[in-house]
Amino acid sequence: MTRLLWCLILLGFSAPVPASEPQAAAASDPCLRLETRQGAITLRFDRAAAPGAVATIERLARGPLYDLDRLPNPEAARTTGYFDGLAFDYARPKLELRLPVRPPAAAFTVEAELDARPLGLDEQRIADAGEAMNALQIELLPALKRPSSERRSTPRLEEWAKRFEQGYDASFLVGTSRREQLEAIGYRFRDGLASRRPTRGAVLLVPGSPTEATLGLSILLADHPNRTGKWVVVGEIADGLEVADAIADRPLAEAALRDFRPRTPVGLDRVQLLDSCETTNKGETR
Amino acid sequence: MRRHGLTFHFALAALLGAASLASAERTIEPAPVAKAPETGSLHTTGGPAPGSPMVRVNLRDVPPGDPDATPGLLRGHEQGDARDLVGPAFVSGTESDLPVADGPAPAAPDSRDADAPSAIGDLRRNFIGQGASGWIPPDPVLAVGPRHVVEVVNSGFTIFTKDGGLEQAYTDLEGFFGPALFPILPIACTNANCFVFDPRIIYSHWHNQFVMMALVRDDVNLRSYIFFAISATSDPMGGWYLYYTFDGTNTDTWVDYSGLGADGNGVYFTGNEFFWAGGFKHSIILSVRPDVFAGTWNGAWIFWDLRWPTAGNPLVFEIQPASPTHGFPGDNATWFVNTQNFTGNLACVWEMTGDRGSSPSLVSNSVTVQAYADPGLAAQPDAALDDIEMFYAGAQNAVYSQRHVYFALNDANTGSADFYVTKLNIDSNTEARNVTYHTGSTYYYYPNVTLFGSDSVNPLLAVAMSWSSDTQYASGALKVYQNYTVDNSGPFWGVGSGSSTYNVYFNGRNRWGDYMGVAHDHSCDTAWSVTQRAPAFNVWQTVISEVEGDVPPSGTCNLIFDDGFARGSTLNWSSSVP
Repeated sequence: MTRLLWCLILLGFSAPVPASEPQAAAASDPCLRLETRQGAITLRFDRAAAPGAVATIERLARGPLYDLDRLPNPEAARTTGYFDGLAFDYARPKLELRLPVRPPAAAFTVEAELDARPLGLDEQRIADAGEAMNALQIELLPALKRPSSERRSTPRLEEWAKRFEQGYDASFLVGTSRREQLEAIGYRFRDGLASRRPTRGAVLLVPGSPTEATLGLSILLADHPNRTGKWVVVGEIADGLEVADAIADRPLAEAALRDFRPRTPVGLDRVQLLDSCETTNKGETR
Repeated sequence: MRRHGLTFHFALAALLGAASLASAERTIEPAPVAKAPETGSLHTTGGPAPGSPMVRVNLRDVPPGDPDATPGLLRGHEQGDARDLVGPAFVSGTESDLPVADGPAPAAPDSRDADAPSAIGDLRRNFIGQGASGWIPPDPVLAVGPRHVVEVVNSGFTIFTKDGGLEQAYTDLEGFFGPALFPILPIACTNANCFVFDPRIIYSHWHNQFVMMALVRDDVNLRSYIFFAISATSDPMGGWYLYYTFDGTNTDTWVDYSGLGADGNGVYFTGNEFFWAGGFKHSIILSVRPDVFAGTWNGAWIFWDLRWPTAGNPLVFEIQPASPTHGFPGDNATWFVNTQNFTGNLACVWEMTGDRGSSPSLVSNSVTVQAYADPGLAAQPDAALDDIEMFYAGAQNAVYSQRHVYFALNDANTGSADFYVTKLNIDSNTEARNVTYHTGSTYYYYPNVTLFGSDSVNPLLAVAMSWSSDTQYASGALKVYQNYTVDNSGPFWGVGSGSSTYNVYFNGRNRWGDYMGVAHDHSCDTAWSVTQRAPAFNVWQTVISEVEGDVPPSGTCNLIFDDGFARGSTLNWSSSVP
């Protein structure tokens, strides 16, 4: 119910963006310049990789976030862009830096736009019984057996589990593509996207589920091959990777909590939406 | 000094009376006589493991944890600073006067699988152990020396006398290891960078010393370490030798899910290595020469990329050391075991021989066992709240005696969760026996096993676990098998009844733990367990129990320490576990 209410208030950005949403074919890739006390980071978003997500990010970054006609004080909300006032609240040194999802998180979701072909997921196949057992024991069965909130059940996965339990032989999976494995645990792929790999410098959306992504931005400071085909790469750092490294290297609040919360989160002092990374001066300031 | 000699043994027995006579029954086992030709897979992916200089600390110099830390997030301890950290005031002389478990005596007949019924005594102690430390899940384990019970949870330890007296209040592992080891790591740690987790503890009856370990993760410098401490004597209240080691080759990983073992040839650690950037890489076995018991690091070896000896050589997951509970293998081998992840019908048995610090030999064989499947979630009485995660089906610990490896597994059932204990013949690589325990709609979870009693040929078997159902909150239980492994005869005690629902989520999981603890008391031939219950809403608490074996403990095994320390709260127990 809460989500439904927010959907009514938000400017149509709350529901997952439909795959067929028309895009401006000739539009250049938008950029976001994030100024912090540690320095500036410029993110270049890739429309070809995730058109729906990038369009949503662009609109939300520009603001307003809300349906002004429904708000009691629309002028106060008019100047708010999605990234204004956020801070990097998740910092894994040498690995990853994240901007949070603005509440209500459930409202700001987009479709997880992933295309298996550019990622080589059709060609990547299980070669032998050992790899088959690895896939089953390390990823597939755990997904099926996880507690309810994390369970990833599909008819194909159920069928594979039954086949395995008949004789505890996983070799029937030999030849199965990586795409098929990911689809068995709930991921969906569509054609026509220039999906990218999660390498150092890439900008990703934090997943909400296998089929939905949040608008939490993840900046990778190292290659994360384990996320290939699972996390949507929406762009890259065009400038300021060393600034991101420095922000992530700041002390954590408490290592034992394992929430990777910085002791003093670095905030976004100024956010500029740019038509392209080469047009810094023409950008809109948020 | 390892004391194998018959003369010494009987001299000690005469000196110490009946209590130590029980330990005189222990044997050095004969070398295997019917072992099949070696068909296992030889693993060679390994190398020397770096080690640290020994740092000695005295427990009396280590402050207990912060009693004001916020429960449910981290640290803190329920027991508080119940007393000042002064040394124990034993009433009966010094440590050297105490009966201690001795090394093995020479050979006794090895009538394997005789399964002669053994008498079982009563549950003789049952008291509240460590309460919510502020960590979830608790992962409680314990080890028992001549006079002390050392309980370790995430992420600290508490020391009790055997009658439940509090000797050392909850002391967090970071405070115990950190000041000594953090500064001397290859990249120095700080409390903000590093956290200490997944502890284990055992009592090595070969050396009469405690061995405690914990894993350490440096999330800033992406380093992973294994910290371990060995008590200088059988008295855990005195000095400890502290060390660290790590996998110096696979620096793209961190170690998780520890296992700990020890025997006359060394100390053993097992773990899973995960990439820092996410994803499982492989499991490891790390062995350390036994000089560490005397305060000297003298070499270690680590095996990685461990794989099943089956088609395609898939990766193994979560190996556990199978430490000897009674005798010592005649071939000086050390055994390890793992099962398949979540669902399967195989166990993998690992045999390590040779110099534990320099190119030991490691051979694996797969053994077909009764099928097992991940049990999923355990019911609680309040249907409106979520159920408790039971983790997975695999072996959480293992023990060895008389050419057999024993472990316990969870197993899924319709509307319930069973557990079964299995006994593997390591010469024929077959499952010698297994017995499943199932009751109606009861969920049993985290079963961990030990052998105890005076007879290593027909040992008693104790399994510690938790249980719950639609009508029973999460509780502790201790099952003892009288006639292992023919049937389920033997008592099943409810050692700590739960009183409320448990719904504590971390990363979306309502975790109850990864394992529980059970240990053979080598001084008294009893078994001790540490299990968990939920005494209040969203609160975990551990319960420590002791059960007699076939020889009633006597002499100093019945000692009640008149030391003025606060006793642990004694719990009533029941024999009504279904």
